[in-house]
Amino acid sequence: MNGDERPLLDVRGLRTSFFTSDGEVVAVDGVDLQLRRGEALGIVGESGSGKSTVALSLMGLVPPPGRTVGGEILFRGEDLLKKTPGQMRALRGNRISLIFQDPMTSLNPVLTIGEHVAEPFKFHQPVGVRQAWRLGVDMLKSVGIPSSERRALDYPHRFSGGMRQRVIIATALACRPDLILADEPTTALDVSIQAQILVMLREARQRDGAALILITHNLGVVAELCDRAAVMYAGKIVEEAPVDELFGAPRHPYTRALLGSLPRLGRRERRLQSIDGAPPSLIGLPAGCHFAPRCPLAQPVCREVTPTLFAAASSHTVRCLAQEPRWKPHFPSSQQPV
Amino acid sequence: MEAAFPVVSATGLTKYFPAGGGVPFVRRPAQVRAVDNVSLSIDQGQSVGLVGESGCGKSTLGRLLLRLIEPTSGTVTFEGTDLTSLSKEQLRRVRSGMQMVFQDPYASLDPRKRVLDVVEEGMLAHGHTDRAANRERIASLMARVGLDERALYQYPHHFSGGQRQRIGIARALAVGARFIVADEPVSALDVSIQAQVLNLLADLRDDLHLTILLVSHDLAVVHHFTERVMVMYLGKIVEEAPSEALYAEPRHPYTRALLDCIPTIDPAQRGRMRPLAGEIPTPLNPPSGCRFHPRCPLAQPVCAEVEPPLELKADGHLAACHFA
Amino acid sequence: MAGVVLTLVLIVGAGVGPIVLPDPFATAPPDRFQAPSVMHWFGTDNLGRDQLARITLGLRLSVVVAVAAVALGVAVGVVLGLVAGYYGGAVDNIIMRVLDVFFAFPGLLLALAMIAALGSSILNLVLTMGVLFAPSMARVTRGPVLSIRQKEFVEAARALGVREAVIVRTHILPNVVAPIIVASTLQLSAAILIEASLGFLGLGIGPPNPSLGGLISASRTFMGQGPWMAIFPGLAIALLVTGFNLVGDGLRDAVDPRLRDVLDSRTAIR
Repeated sequence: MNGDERPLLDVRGLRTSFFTSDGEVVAVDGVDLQLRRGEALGIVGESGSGKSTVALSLMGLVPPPGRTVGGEILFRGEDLLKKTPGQMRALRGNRISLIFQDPMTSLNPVLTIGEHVAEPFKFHQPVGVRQAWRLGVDMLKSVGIPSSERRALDYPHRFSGGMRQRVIIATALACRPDLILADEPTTALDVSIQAQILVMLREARQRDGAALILITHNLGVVAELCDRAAVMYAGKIVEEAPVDELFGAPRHPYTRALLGSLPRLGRRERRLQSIDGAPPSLIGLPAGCHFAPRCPLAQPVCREVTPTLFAAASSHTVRCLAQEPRWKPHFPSSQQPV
Repeated sequence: MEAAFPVVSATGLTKYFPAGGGVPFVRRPAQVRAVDNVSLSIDQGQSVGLVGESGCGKSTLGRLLLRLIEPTSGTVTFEGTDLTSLSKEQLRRVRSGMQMVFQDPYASLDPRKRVLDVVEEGMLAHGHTDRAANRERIASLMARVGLDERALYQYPHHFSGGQRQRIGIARALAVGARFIVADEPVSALDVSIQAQVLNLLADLRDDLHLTILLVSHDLAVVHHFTERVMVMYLGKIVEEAPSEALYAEPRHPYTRALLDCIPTIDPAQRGRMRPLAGEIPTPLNPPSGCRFHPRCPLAQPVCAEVEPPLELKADGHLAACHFA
Repeated sequence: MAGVVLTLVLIVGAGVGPIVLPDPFATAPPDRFQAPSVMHWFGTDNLGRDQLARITLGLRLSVVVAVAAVALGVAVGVVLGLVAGYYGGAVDNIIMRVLDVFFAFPGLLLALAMIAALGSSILNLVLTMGVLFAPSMARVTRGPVLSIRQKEFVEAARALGVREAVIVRTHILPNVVAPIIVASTLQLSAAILIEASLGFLGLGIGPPNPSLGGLISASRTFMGQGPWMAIFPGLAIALLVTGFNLVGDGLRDAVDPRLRDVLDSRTAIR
């Protein structure tokens, strides 16, 4: 990490829980993240990993019964968790934008597309209504919506899923934010449309230099768009590395198992590697490694000692006792991960 | 090579859905041409994949093959019997041999029935009223799909998506299915659970010599699981080939474009991702001639006029393109 | 759940009351217009009859008529709603249009017309209100049926080869029971009010049988001499209606979030 350039985003010990009638669901359990200007980080995980909650926490949009209960979110040096609601509103859509998952429900059906995309300008910039509209139409053009002046007058229901997602991205990019959070932006889209959106996102970032946190379960999407990736499991980051290194030489048993369970084009195997069991409930998790119950390498020590993120190589961290020299003796050599 | 016999075959299968906008007796409503003149054949013991994007008609085709939807025209044959000519009661009785595994694990099980009732229902409907014998058979099926016998007395909401899919599979097997249409069986599941369910299906297929049609939008899943793949676009099959050949040498421009759209974690393939231009046209008014021609990089004038037939281009490899 | 307690108290009272209390028909002219006292908790009316006894009998009448009417409405309406919702198309259209005709009439007026035509008796009251309630029960049923019908588990049952009638009975019906129960509880309070209104207008059960509405109507002339003659019957109606409403609300709350709660902690985090 370049020491003399302060990171754009520095998250330390983020903890967000949901206080449900069944108990406290610890969705985000002590997450640290750093992002430099213009960098793209992917957060990968399955349901229940807490990845979406991270995005909501960063935006201060965690819905009740959830609440961020600990940690710091330093954005351009200022702790977002200490900001007033008014200050957060001034940031959202302006310096930090969020792209949601489902384009079919993210747009207000009674507002025209033009009104949607003009809104950030109206709210955050000292421009009049007409000027905001014009700026909005320009944004629509830049995301590839044809005949944007005319289509800006249409309502969302006249647009396909891919087009709607473009509108949402246009709205998110309107004020040229420093940071874009994208939560499963292409999951609901067909593959061919997904490719269009990914390319568009990549170009938009190159043009404006925005940093990106891309949250998804789709490893391929992360590989195409991000420089680095972090894998989340049960509320914690279990591995983080540059994308090619993470997918080429994963160190955490969960990451490995995840990669092994993916069917890959060009490689037909008789059976996929699968992980026994299911992700744990996030209520009252026991001490020790959260992945231990399903881990092929687990030893008794894994259930007693809670592993911390350990730098296995430069800019490659892992949360696994088997990776740390201090604990290596506990793991029989035949089970050593490479 | 001895001829394998086809378990399922379809000829000229077509399904049009009315799309509204009609005035009774005055103007016919617009038609969605979900499936348009499809012919296919699946041999016993084969695993075939049906792949395509939204609106291509793959789910509709899957249901037509089981006659869960009435075809507008065309015929479907199952184990030699023409399903389209059967009466409702005759069809009902034939159903036990052909079953479907559904996409949504949360909607495909009745929330008010215990697992035992869910799995036994089909057996009872086909005259297996010996409850004790049923119980025994069901217990062994549960073991086969990897579920504890105690699960039988619980309600679906107790179970995860992956477990519910297993229940759905047990239900299909309980009634004696020999042919299974799996309609996006793992799309709603997490990646690691997808692998579990796909492995289960593969094991069952091998142990019980099932014939499986896997319908999915995910080319990688289909490529992994099936020996033979059919690619659909706007209601028609545009390419049909063995899985390896489809991936290694796609002949239809749509298949090629689709493969190029898929983001990959393989660094060697990075930069290959090239989006396909344009939107997927609506099946309400498909383009003339070859339905893909407006988006096709190889399009020529003939493509807009003449619809290319699905024909043999190489060994076991069919494509519907004038220039394949 | 206060509603349950309230309703139960009233129903039990209505059931038990007439057995233990003095004869509601016994007139005792010397005791006319007695204010509420230890002897007569609700006072006496213009003929010296014990009000408490009359009210409890009236309650019993109201409850019986209401329950019977709603039961009839449910029986007819649910069947119509099931058929309309499940088969759809022309059948659905015909049934719903016919029901629309009934909807077009304000309920009370329709009831008035029918009672006027048929004459007032308990049976006719029940029949009239049953006819009145059937359309809305049909509508309440049809909605959920339409949505359940499309669910994959219904398609799965069909794919298994289960007969249509069995599907309706074992899959559709159990899943639409919940809103029907809620609606019928609320319908009960409407029934009470209609019966009381009819009684007030003189179209209900005639004297000397006490009906709550009739009691109120009869008390109009005597407001000066015995206001309690009007207050207590009115209170009884209000409490009964409130009781049923609370039960209905409680049921509605119990039915929906139960399913939502199960999902809550599991889907709250992604």
